[in-house]
Amino acid sequence: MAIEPLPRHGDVPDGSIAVRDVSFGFGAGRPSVLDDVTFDVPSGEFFVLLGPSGCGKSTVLNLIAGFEQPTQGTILAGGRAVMGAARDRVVIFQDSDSLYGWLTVRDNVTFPLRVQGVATRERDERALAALRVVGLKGHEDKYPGELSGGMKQRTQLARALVLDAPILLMDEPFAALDAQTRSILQDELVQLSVTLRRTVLFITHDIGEAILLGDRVGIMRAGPGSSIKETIVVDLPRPRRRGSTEFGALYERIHQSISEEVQRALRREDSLL
Amino acid sequence: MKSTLTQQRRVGAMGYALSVAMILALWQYGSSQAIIPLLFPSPLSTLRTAMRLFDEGRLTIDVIASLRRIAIGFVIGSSAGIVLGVLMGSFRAVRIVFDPYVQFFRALPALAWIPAAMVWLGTGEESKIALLVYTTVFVVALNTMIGVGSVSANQIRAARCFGCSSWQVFLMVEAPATVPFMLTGMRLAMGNCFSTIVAAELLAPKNGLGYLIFSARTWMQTEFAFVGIVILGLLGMIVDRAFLFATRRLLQRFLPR
Repeated sequence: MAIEPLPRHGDVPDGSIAVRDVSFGFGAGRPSVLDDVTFDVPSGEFFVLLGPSGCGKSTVLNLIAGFEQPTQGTILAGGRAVMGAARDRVVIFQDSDSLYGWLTVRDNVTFPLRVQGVATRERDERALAALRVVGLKGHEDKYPGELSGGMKQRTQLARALVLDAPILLMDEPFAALDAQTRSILQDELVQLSVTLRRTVLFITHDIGEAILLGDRVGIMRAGPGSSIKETIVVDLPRPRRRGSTEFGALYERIHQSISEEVQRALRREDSLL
Repeated sequence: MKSTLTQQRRVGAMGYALSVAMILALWQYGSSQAIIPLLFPSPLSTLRTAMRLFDEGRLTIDVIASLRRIAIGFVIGSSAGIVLGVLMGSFRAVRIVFDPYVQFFRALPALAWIPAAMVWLGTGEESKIALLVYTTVFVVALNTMIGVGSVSANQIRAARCFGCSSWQVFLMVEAPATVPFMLTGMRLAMGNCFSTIVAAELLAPKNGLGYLIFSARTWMQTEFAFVGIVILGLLGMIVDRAFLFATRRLLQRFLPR
């Protein structure tokens, strides 16, 4: 499937992310969710945050998005401190309930442009371009209720692309889809990220997905009080094949690292009992 | 061979017509068994009386009077209910304060308030409209409140990502999301209004369908009562269908496929 690049609107600004010594908790007496998380994502990189369930990966994304404030530490996006949600960082949620059910696909995708006061004709053009890029051309007049899970995620993606935000934050976007659709969307996302060169922070618990998509993979410790255990560069040339030897070797290495974490967490729980 | 939608619709309509014909036949039979025809008018005599009342102009006056009261009470009650519902759905403090009252009064039928309405507001139009407002406002408020709550956290977060101010979130996300719930509440309220109008017109009115029904008692004109009953029922049905038809396009996008 040929992917047309989105029309450019000026230079793509700095999309780097810097997370420094970030801690987050829900208050005294409750265990902290994150403890001294530090990592950097240079502009244009596809960074995958990988970890076992409950390790706080989504919390990291929420903090970078600006939905929550860290209790300690700083977060910079594009070199500026994160003060709350803003249009330079767009989130794609796992559950496509963030789409607006009373709007057509087209109106969902033009929504961010309407908020910004973009003129109607330009809005429609940009929306159609984005829909073509994600493969939804022809479905503009459908409502989210009429779409399959995969199509809803594509709509979210189109909506996120239309504002040309330099940073995409994707919170396990394919986790709720069937394996077939997931595989197709993964491949399309790879092609897309190569063409668009946005910064992507991608959350997943699926090791295979991480290796397939990411330039680098950050492995998180098991919670509570999680932090980054290690960062692994995915040095495989694209297109990557899930069956290749190098893929398998990397998979084993990452799997080993995560298993250690899960073991440690279990031992810690045992010792508490 | 699977039947087409048109065929299914035709069969449905035929079944509907058959059912109505059966009821009319039963009615006719039942009334013919009455020892005194006065006690149970037949469909034909009801129809004749209705036409007579219509020719006299009385029927039109009564229908318009009742519909007018319902319209005024419904509009006032819905407006107040929507405002209350939005406030309750948006601000926890408001909800905590009003919730017990809304629940309490929603369950209490307007009928119970007739003596109070008569004493406080007299027997004019105000007391009747007040009862209709009462029967509308709480169910609309409750459904609107639920509608406001139906907006998911991610819908709001997404809006913030796109640069929405709080006001824009309200106008562009929360308000449209709430509309189908508002309409459901309003449809229920309209049903309440039709149920309540008869009770409301116990308060010594000079016209209205409720009045028509009760006046039958004075002169033993059971046919009047039946005319009132049938027309009230038909009007209620028609208004409900009209409401549904008007809102179908808006609600349809929310129906699961």
